[in-house]
Amino acid sequence: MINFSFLTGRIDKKRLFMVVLALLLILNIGRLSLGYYQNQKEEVENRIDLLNQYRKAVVMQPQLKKRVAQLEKRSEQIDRYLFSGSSVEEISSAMQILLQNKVADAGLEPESIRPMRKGANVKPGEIADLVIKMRLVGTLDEFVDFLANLYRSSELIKIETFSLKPYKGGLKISLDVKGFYHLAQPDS
Amino acid sequence: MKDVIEIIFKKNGSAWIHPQQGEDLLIEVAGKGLGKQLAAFCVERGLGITSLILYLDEDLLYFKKFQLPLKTANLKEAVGYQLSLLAPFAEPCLHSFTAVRKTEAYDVLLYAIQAGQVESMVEDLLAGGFQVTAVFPESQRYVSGKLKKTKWALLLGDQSPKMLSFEGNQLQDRVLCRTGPSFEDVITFSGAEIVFSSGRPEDDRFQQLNTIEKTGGKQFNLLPASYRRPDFFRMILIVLVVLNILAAISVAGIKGYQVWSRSKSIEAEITSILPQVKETEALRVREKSLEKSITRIENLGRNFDLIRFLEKLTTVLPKTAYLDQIRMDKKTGAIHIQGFTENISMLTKKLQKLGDTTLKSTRRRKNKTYFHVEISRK
Repeated sequence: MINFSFLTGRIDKKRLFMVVLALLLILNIGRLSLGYYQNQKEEVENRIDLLNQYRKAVVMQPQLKKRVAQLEKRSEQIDRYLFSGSSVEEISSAMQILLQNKVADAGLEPESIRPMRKGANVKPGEIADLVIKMRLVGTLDEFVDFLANLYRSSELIKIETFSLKPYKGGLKISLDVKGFYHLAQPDS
Repeated sequence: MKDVIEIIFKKNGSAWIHPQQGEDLLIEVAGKGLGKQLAAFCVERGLGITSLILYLDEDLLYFKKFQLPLKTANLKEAVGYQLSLLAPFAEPCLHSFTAVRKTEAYDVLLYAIQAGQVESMVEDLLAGGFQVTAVFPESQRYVSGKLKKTKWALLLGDQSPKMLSFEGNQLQDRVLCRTGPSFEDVITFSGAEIVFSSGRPEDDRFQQLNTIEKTGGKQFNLLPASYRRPDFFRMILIVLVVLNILAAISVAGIKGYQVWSRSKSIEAEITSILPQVKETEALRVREKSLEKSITRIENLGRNFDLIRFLEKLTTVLPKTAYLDQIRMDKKTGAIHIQGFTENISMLTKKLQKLGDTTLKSTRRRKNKTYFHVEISRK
């Protein structure tokens, strides 16, 4: 163990104590100042990082505008696949009219065309579907004509299930078709 | 090695102490001419030293110990007032004092001497080309750092010695003795552990002055202020400390200003760019929303090409086969064909062209095979 008594014997203890206190004070002030400076510097560096991110985002803006424009165009195009109306009843009616016309155009005889309503509430803007059950009578050629007509339709009407049975020299046709729609946003 | 010459002024002359050899050379110089003699002495001894410290014989100095109240506002003024009452000099005098705060009062020790006496000595030495750095009472010459924690006493003079008691480096009192005191008297009066004597007493318990490891005291400097040389070392030290502090503050200030100005410019840039950033964010949100919407619609799926299927079925179906029903399963999307044929193996073989065909059931009746085939859509 080191003996410091030779030092304490020579140096005035009060002065030594004061010097030590002064040094500690200076060191503490230095440490606090350095800590404050480091914090400030770190904060500035964080802001620089943020600014760089902002710059990158701004540089990407023209590309993003172009992409959004393309998507809006595409969205407009595929929105045409959907039925649109102010209420489910209105849409159901429009679907039935469309199908009735296509059945008549193909020369098929409709026995029944009726919608299967769902209970869930549909919010404006959401995509929902409506199943329509069809019972038809006709020939295979008339059915194929109907299908061709249906496939050409601008609205998406999906055949969920079907069955064909011979009936009085022709066919008895059962079809479940599904149409898709979204309710129009109410005018504010 | 010392770079000053010490001179002890006595009533009958002065003793010059050679800085290297430490010898006390007593030279009696009456009147003027001390400076010139000292210069000649230095030339003779080859000493290129011009700094002097003067020590005054205790016999030349007036000494007084007294107390001042603790409430004394200005000690210097109070001592000056006391001096004017106590000093036995008619003409102006030089004085120096120490004041130690005790529990009840200040203990003041005062040395004084006629101003003319010191000034004439200093002038004489200055005329010889020397510089006087300090004038102390002789007792200060014997102060030793080795005796810092020790009570000790000093007997100066032979006939009517003066007893000076010290505690470490601090002079405690000075007493004029009529005759040479005994060792016991000194110990009893001063409480000292060690007693040094300038004379040659018979009692060997007194220690000789030349046994002290002298470091020299700094109290009671009687050199007039007008002769004091500025303490350049102290001034340089203060200037350096101030410069260091200013440099440290400047560095801190510059660093702080750099950080502050950088922060300000960044904030300004962020503020200017923020509207564009918000616009970009809005575009991103719009992009996500559109992508989600498009994906949902695209995921609705496509229609099974029933026309092509019926066309193929008509083509591949053997002429000996008849269909009772064609049905599409709602859940699996598989096509179920039911009918009858005369050759089931040929039928199943041909239906393979439409997809993965599974024969679900067959039944033989009236020479015909009724079948149920499932064709899964790929």
